Amino acid sequence: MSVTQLADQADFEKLQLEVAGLIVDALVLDDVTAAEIDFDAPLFGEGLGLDSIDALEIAFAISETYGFKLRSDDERNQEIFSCVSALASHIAENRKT
Amino acid sequence: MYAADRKLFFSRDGIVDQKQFVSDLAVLRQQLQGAGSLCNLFQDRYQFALGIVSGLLNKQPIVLPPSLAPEAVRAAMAQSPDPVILSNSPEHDALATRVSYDNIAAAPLDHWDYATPLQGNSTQIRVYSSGSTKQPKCNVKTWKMLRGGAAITDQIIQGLDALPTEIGLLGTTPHGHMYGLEATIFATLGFGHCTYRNTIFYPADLEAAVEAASDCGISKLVLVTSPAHLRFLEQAILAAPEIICVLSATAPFPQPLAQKLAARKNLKVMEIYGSTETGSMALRQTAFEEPWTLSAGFELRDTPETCLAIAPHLSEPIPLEDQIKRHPDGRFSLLGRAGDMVSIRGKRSRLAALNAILSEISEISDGVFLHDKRHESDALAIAVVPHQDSSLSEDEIRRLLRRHLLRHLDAAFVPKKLLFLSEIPRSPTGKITRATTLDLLKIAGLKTDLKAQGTN
Repeated sequence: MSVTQLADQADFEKLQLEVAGLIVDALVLDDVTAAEIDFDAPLFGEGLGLDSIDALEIAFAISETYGFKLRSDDERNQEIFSCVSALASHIAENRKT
Repeated sequence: MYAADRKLFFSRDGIVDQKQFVSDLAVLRQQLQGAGSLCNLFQDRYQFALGIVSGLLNKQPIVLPPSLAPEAVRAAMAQSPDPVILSNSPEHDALATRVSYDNIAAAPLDHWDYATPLQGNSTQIRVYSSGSTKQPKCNVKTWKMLRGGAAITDQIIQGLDALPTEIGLLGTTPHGHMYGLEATIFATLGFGHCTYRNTIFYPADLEAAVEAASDCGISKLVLVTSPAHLRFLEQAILAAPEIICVLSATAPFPQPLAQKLAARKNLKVMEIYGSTETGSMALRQTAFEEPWTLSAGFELRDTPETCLAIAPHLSEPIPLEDQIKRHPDGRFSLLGRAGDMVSIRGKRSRLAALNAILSEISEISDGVFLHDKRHESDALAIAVVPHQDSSLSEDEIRRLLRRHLLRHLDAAFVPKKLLFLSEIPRSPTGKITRATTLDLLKIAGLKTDLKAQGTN
């Protein structure tokens, strides 16, 4: 792995932790910390037990923090919201701030 | 009967007029021949409306489950003969044969009146809601009943400063539930109002809908929504002068939010009151008034136990699920929910049903939903006692429990807060007192609400 790739990986890990923190803050999950969230575990369903309004809450926090908006007609939505890691990838690709 | 080119639905792909609707209807009706009943899960409002009218005209009862949770869909379909599922998603394929919507270019027909043959149609639309056991409760509706409930939406639209043909309806609420069903689908089918095909969810969806409306020549919009969604859409609504009316229902509309929206120029803000049993039955301008005004045709009758709602389009008097206070001028105020009704983010279920589903989990020896009624959205948590022989960790039990609940319930009723106890402090009769519930909710991290209403 090259030095650039290593740096990119470190940046991505930092972003994942940041996104997990954003979820914990947006949803006031006071019994779990960002570091405790499994970045590859499902956010919805049995994982964190989130519902559709939680998705709206997260989308709202994303637009405030990263300056871009999510839309329902994006066919990748299910994949984007599948776990912290997928959400972080989507943010890395689309962030404006 | 409306003109052939009356706009019924719109999207970024353009308008669907009445003539197109009737042509597409003939194709879908043909495709559905032989099915005993139709479980209509179409997400696109146009396709859903075609499914409804196909079932009515083909005399195939229509099933609308309380949620998309697989066991809820299965339980709702179990009471109807030979069902097929109308859906474009394979999610429920294990339950029944699926008919997806094919965009076949239907041959134009020389007639376009779908509504006249529906007058007097008695095919059932079975709208399921939470029952007092884990089995959902069937609320039987007909064309006449749902059109009657949509009359309140029509009445509001007629009162706006615009021609009804200039207006488009947008919806954030699911059209498989009563409010969305009446205020979008039946406002279109019964009164010819034009509805946006997609469901608005994110603020950017609202912006996209406004743009699509403009491309379709629709200059004024009515947003059918709920307080849970409004919190996120407020800024987008204030920034879109095309939106001239906001209709809210499903949970109490916070007055400060209603006032903030109503302060925008040319924006009418209305709140609708109703239930799955009665349909939409009363309205108010929340920003300026607290009491509700009954919709035309409705009357209330007190009995020693409850208050009944009566209307010409309802087949019988229906007891209200809320406690109300009647005013001498005919209006009424809501005092609180009666019984064990749980209301989370605009969705309702019964506590008894939630506990019945929880009790099926074999890895716990005792478990209970902790519930406290709150003004806008209730507090809900679960306390469980793991079975003493269970080798599962708390985290494994948490996952197993969520997985089980999600098979039966909408995710709104699957609490994030789960309390592990060695014993649930029940009274000698096995009940959990309100004081205990509040104590446990506090331990679970849910604060006491000073505005809490009623008792459990």
